Amino acid sequence: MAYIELKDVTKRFGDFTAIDALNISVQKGEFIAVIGPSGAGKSTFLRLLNSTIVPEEGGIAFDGTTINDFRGERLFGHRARIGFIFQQFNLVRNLTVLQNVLVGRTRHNPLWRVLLSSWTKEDFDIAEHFITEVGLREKIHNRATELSGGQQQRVAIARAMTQEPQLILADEPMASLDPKLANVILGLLKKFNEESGITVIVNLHVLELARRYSTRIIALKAGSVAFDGTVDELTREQLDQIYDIDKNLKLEELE
Amino acid sequence: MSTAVENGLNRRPHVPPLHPKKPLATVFVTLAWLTFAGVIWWSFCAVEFNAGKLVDGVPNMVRFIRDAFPPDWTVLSDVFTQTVLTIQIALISTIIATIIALPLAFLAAMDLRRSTALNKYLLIPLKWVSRFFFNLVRSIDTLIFALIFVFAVGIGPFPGMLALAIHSVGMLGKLFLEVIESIDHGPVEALEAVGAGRLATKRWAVVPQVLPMFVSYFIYRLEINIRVAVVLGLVGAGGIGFLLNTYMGLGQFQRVSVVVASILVLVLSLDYLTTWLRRKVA
Repeated sequence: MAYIELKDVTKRFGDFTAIDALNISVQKGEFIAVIGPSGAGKSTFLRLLNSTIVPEEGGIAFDGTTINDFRGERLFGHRARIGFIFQQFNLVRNLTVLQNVLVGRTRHNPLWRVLLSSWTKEDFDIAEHFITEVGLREKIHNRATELSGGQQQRVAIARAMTQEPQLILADEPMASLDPKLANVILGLLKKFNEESGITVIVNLHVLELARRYSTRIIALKAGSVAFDGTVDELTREQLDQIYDIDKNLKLEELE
Repeated sequence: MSTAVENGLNRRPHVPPLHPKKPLATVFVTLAWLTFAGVIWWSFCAVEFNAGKLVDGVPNMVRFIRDAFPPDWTVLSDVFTQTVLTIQIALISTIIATIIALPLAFLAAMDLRRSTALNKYLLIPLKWVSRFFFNLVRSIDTLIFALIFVFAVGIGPFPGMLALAIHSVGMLGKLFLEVIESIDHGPVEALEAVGAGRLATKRWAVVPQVLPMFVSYFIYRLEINIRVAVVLGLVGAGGIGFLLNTYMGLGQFQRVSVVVASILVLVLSLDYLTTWLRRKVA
């Protein structure tokens, strides 16, 4: 049985069909890069998986259990087993690194502990472990505002990892960072993927990075799968077709 | 697709001139300046601006200052008590205003786009009522409220406190509302993705963002309220201003100077203290 199974999933925003009858299945432990032009539905796809967006049609199943109709505690429990990495990091700016990471322990504690910020020894140990893993142990009491963009994204990765997730979804995690940092961020995700067997699905727009890190590439175009296969199978012609590249035109002229 | 682009490239782009000629605009600008000058001249006349009167008045002021010295320090303890009372009026009114403004601001900032019966018939009307209430009490000055409350409950610190509190509800509510509306929604999204419920999301994504600003605005409002409370006594609403008014009325200028000195010390130290405090919390 596949770990994640999408069957004929459709999501519309008003008249715009973001995801159009999508069929994808994901095995445990895969490292998948999702590529495609902007507006192809990459972000919507990730948000459907952690159920912050609900599809109009079709079914999404994790380990054979359909998540579409999850509400309340079951929905929160579903989200808790998925770490989400955002393009803009989404840290609380005036909290410290440690506080930001501890937030990942929300579902492991009763509500009163979360509200009173009364985290357990275990929470602190796990948070410290992953802050060390992402190389920010010496910055543990610095506020998020005092960190560079790359460091903030590493904090976000540590936050996702303290959830002890089965799956990590990353939505263009390097898009607002210096390209040189891409290897740091993707390297961390790759490490957790290989060491802990966590499934990783990452939206990328740099094909070179998708080639280097992923075991499988899914290309979306207009909400449907335009390519699904290994890195080696992806040809130049398929790529040009995915990105609508007309060889006779320079990009500048398109604008 | 390529033909459209080529057509676009072949068309000559419109180049706007560096200095566009707009004769009508020049006329309007000239008229506006003339009107402005006219209004200023008219207003000068209206306030009966008279430099001669000011010069004639100088001996009176000199006499006032001469009469005010040496200060009559025997009233110092009264002045001190009333100064403390002024601070107390401001403190209590700011606290009460904050307690009322906070829930109203959250109500006014609520996101009620989902069309449920509760939203439609209760929360949305409440949201607009609280916004209207903020604007209404903001537009009426504390002194006007003080006059009304002195008339209603009699002279003393109580009507002053009420007047400050109600005006501050509007000022603080509006500021709190703007803070809540301008938060970064990224953390909210992150907390939802972690699986946090509504309360936990508020606790870790909203409160850490708004609290430092709330504290800062509270201190700012407290400072303003102390300054206003000084003047409130003039309309009979208690505090140091009341004492000032009494001494002025009795012509006891040596006592007036003690009051003025006390106000000076109060306002100056307040300035340094709040600047320092606000830097601490921000």
